[in-house]
Amino acid sequence: MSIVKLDRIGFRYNDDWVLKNISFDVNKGQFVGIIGPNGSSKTTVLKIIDGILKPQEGDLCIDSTSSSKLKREALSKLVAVVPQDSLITFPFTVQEIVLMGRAPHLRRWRFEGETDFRIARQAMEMTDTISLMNRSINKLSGGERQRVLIARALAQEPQILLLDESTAFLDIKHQIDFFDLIKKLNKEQALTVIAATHDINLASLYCGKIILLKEGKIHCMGSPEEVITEAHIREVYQTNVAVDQNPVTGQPRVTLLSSHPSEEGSRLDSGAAPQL
Amino acid sequence: MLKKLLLPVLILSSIYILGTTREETNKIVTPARVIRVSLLLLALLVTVSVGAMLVGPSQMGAVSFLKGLLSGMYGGDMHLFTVEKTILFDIRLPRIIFASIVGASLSLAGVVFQGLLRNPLADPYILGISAGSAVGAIIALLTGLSFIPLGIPGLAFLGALLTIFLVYGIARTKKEIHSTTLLLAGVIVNAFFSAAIMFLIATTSTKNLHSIMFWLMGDMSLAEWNEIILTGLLLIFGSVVIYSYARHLNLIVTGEETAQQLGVNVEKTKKILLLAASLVTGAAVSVSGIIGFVGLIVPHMVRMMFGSDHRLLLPASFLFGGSFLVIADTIARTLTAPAELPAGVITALCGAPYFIYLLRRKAV
Repeated sequence: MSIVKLDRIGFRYNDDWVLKNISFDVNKGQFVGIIGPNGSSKTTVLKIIDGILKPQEGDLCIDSTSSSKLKREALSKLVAVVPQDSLITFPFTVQEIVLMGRAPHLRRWRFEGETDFRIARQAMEMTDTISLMNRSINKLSGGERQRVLIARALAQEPQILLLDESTAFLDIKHQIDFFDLIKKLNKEQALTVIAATHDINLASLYCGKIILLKEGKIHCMGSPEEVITEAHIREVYQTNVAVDQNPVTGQPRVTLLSSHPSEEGSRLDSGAAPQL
Repeated sequence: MLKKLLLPVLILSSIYILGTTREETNKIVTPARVIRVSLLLLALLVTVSVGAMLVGPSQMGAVSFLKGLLSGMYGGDMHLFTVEKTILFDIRLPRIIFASIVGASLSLAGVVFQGLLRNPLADPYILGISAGSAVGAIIALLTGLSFIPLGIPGLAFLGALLTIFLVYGIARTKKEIHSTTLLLAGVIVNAFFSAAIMFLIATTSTKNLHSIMFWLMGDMSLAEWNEIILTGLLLIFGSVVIYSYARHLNLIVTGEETAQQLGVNVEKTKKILLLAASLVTGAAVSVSGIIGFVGLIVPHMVRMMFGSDHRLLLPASFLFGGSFLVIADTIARTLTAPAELPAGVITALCGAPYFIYLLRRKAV
């Protein structure tokens, strides 16, 4: 059963169409990756799903309700976002930030109650941020801060989690930790995940379905094996790559190739790289 | 004797009250905590105000103070104490109430501007909003609009509103607003409006030049009850509106898109809060002139003591701002007694170094 359904969505800034004829379905509990080069409007797709941008064309259904009939607060109870990085100037504590995830569930003038504290606590336990709860958000490292932002998103109790380049500034250990945690939530709680990312290998490793965007249109979509091929990557990114199998998981793996390989590289190379 | 002891006692008790709350920074904000902190700070305001009533160019001992207090309470049949009564209730009390209203207004506006612009250095004075508001008020004074009810605060409000849009428009490049650009825009707008004020004053042949200058620098001695009541009512109205958006302001501070994702109608909230904060600033400036840095110092100190949650930050800054300006005004009228300084001189003398300190810290 599809929980997010985009039907011929088009979006433009002024006269500039940045999304054209986008249609895809996401099923409940699916882990979907959106990949594509800079300017392919990955983020725009996410912003349309979370209601920040209103498409000029097409229909969007979330949880079988047309987005035009969904109120802002109702949408915020369904969809949560983990942004790329969030610079917060004021010294809020981690617990305060996580409790903000309860906002869509609270009425004006209402303070958080027992239920909200319990849910925020669970979210911090799941993301291993409970020991940070009294620390100031602007004194945390990048990896810690991203975990706090996941905790805030989880405190929203969403059905759908959107990741917008959420690991772009993290090192490989923190990237893997981040996606392992999301995958766990995806499996255990049937949380639907839609992740926009630059990292094709990460997408291949975690996503069941991949959507490859080129200049605001869907170039192709399907399983990682169907989408991540040398031909597709060359067509979309205009660069040569080698695609083989990850020796451990068997998922497709992308290897970047340079047209000017380093000395050692060319010595070991068996001729795949073009000769000078 | 008692009077000499009073000031140290006052300072020590204030430090004690603040000290007891020092460890509260990490506690989560609950209604009970908001009420407890507000009561503490209200007690501080009352203590400071009573202390300020005892201090002044005309010496007043504890006995005459009590006499004045009694005659104030029991009405006109205590003719013996009319001098004390006049000093306490007609000169000092209105001025103290006035100072606390203006201090509360400016601090509240400071919190809102800082939150909306996501910049801890925003303040009605630094952003040029006070100056813009003063231009409005002076135009009202010079064109005779002051005789229309709400003429002066009305134009001061328009001046404040115009300035905030001007500064915001100048500083806004693409989507983000940079700290430095915003401050520069404020400095420029401030310089422009200051020149406009000078121009207006220089080209007027008014006899009240001295009093206009004093009013500009933040003079409280001219406080009249009808002005106090009007400013107080505007402040109460503005505060209620602002407080009803306290939780939304928390979310906006963490990013406008995040706030939207968490269910806040950001555009509407921003408009309402800007209007309310401009109204409160305009009301304060129209009666007290330009008093700088209050909206910068007070929210920052309160944030250090009680954390960043606006549900506590707003009422705490409101009350602490009142105490702050009462103290500043008391110093202003006693430091060079019998001559008096405008309170704005004192706040700027403390505020400017504090601003530099904040600027030099990496947090900005």
